[in-house]
Amino acid sequence: MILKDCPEGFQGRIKLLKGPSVLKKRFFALGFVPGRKLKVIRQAPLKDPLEVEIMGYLLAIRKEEAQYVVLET
Amino acid sequence: MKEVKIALAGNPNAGKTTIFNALTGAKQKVGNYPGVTVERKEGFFKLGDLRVRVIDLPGTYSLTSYSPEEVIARRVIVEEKPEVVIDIVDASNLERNLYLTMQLFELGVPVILVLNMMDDAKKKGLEIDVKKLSEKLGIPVVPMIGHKRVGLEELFDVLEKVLNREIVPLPREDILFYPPEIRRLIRRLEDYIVSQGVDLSGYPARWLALKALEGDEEVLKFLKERLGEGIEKELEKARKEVQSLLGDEPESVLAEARYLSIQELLKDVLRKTPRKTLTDYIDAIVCHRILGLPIFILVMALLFQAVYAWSTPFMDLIDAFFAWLGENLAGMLGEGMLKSLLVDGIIGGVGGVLVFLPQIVFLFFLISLLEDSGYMPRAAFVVDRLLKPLGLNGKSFVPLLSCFACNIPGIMATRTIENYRQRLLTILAAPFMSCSARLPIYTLLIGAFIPDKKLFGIWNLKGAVLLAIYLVGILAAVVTVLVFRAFTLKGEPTPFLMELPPYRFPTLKSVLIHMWNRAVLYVRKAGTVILAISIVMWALFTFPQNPSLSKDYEALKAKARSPEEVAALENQEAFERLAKSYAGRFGKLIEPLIKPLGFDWRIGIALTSAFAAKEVLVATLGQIYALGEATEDEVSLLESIRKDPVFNPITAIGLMLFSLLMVPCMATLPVIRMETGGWRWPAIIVCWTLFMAWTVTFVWVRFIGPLIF
Repeated sequence: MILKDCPEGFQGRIKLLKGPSVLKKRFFALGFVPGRKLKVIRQAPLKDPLEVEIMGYLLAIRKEEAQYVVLET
Repeated sequence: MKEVKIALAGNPNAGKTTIFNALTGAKQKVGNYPGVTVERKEGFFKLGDLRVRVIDLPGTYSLTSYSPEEVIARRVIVEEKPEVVIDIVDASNLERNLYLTMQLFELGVPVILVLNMMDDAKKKGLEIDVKKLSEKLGIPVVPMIGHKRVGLEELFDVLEKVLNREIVPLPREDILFYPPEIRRLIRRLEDYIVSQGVDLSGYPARWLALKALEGDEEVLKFLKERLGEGIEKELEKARKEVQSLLGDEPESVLAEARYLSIQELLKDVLRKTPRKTLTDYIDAIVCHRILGLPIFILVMALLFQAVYAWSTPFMDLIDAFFAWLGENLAGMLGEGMLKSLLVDGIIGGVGGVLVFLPQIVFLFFLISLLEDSGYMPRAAFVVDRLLKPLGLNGKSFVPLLSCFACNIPGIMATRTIENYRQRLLTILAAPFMSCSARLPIYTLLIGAFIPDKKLFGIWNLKGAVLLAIYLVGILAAVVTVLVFRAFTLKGEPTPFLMELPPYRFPTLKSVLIHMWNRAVLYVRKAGTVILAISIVMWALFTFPQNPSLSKDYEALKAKARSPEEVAALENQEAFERLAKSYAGRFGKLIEPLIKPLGFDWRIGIALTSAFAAKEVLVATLGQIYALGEATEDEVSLLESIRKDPVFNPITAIGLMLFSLLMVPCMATLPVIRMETGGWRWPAIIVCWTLFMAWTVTFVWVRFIGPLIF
């Protein structure tokens, strides 16, 4: 399941990260590592970006970047 | 007194700035790192018999070479060798914050860990065994609540002990938990690097090896320069081994290893009892699918209105003060060059600088309030989707909105946009947001030429034209951003990943400090340039002093039979002097350039004067029609313009378009320089805005206008 397509309230573990190395490093620094739990809190009123909860904090992430986060089904 | 250097590191939003302010008080210095637009903040304080210099490193999530902030942070640490790095960590968000800490450990620097925001941690239901954490790490750990100054004493105490060498805050070796295969490969690379025997500028070989394995661009470049091609082969070998032994690339393996280390560390140190916080409840409303946008619009409308309403009386006060000062000085000095220079040139110039201060002060007061409370990221979250097609993100909204009141604080507000490219694009769009100073121009010209009709029977035509002008500005901004994005400013598309920190009650003190810093920065950095340009403008309009006039005004005035006749003569004389001044000559010079737009040299002068301040255009028009200086009385100016054959609805709208799009007032330019780090971008903006102004006005006057009128 790709994060971009996850509905509000979805909870799951990160399976792997795709995308350019620069983006991956940014994801790592923000706590997106394989095995971590992630929860989709909501979509913005205009449907983008998403608000997710990870490692106990809240992050806004655009669907464009969320396409690189693959979650375990 | 001995001076020592320390550094503050930490994630953005971890409260680093608050602690920096608490340590250094007002004794801070803000500047730039050479060659980059990253802010360098330094401060001083006394500790015992030591003078401590604190470098506030930019807030970073990591120490990669991904952003200039991170590169600067590690460069300062390695090259300037602070005695100790105080790592400020958000205790309510430990796991992620410690990722940076791990990288500081990798660099091998002495670290004091500050667990800030302990109150937020408690609210979230987190319990931290500080003593155990300190034991496991082998370095001092100081719990703090920065914005309440809780724990500050203990921090000073620990710092003093560290600086006096009573404590050596180096972490224990076993903290960093890499898989043995990785450790072996890093050691192999390290040995290789050391064996080459080159100068590493103080960077630890092991760190270079680790970063190289991780694929860090800066480090790879550094090593290639000093070690040649050999290092690439070694790295290739190592990367392949990681892939085959551990099934993934080195950067993933290392990232996971760091978090594993963190998990181990926190295992019997952190206890969570998850609890829903006030933040969750507020967000449910503020980011609500249906309520979110209206709430956002309401907040923005209030912001805009407040800045406008609060600053206007102060601006009037400042205007009145300088007018009073000018009059008194004039009274003392009498007519002549000195009086003109002091009153019109210098006082006018200084007044011109200070008149923007109320808007800057109030805007930044409100922005700081919104930021410190935590609402700003939510605002950016809600509106981001609209800005995305332009290559901007939600953080650009508030600065651009502020520009509608006045470009200057709006451009200063772009500093909150960390990414340089995004900031630059926002600054490029800023001048096209029609500021309040341009309004008198529109009011005058619409009043003179737009008939009092109703569009489709409901909409007032005058209002519709006004709205259209604002929309043209926004459209021009969109075009500008798209053009510059496509042709220059190429680079990695910037991901929008924004933390939403918990809501907090803002402290008045920190809001006021922030507001004060901006005001001082403006006056110091922009003030001198604006003053200089004011004097130049004054000179252009005042000299040459004794042109040959067509009539002997003195004689005519003496023969005049009524005060009205004298006044009329004086106005005519003023007009002639204006026409023969350098500004007037300049107007005649550029006339061929603006003739295709339907303008003549007199409008040329008016436009030149608008460079000083946009609203001055109206006053200058008053002088041109020999109506004297007090032209707030629009009726006579309105009539004069209507009667002038040069003006018709098409050219009137043309003039509005030109005033809208042309170069922003002179005060904006040093502010743009301040935010972009040089005169290059102000120069580009001057050229681009003139180009836009001329082209759009030309197309209107020649093609579109005649179709409508």
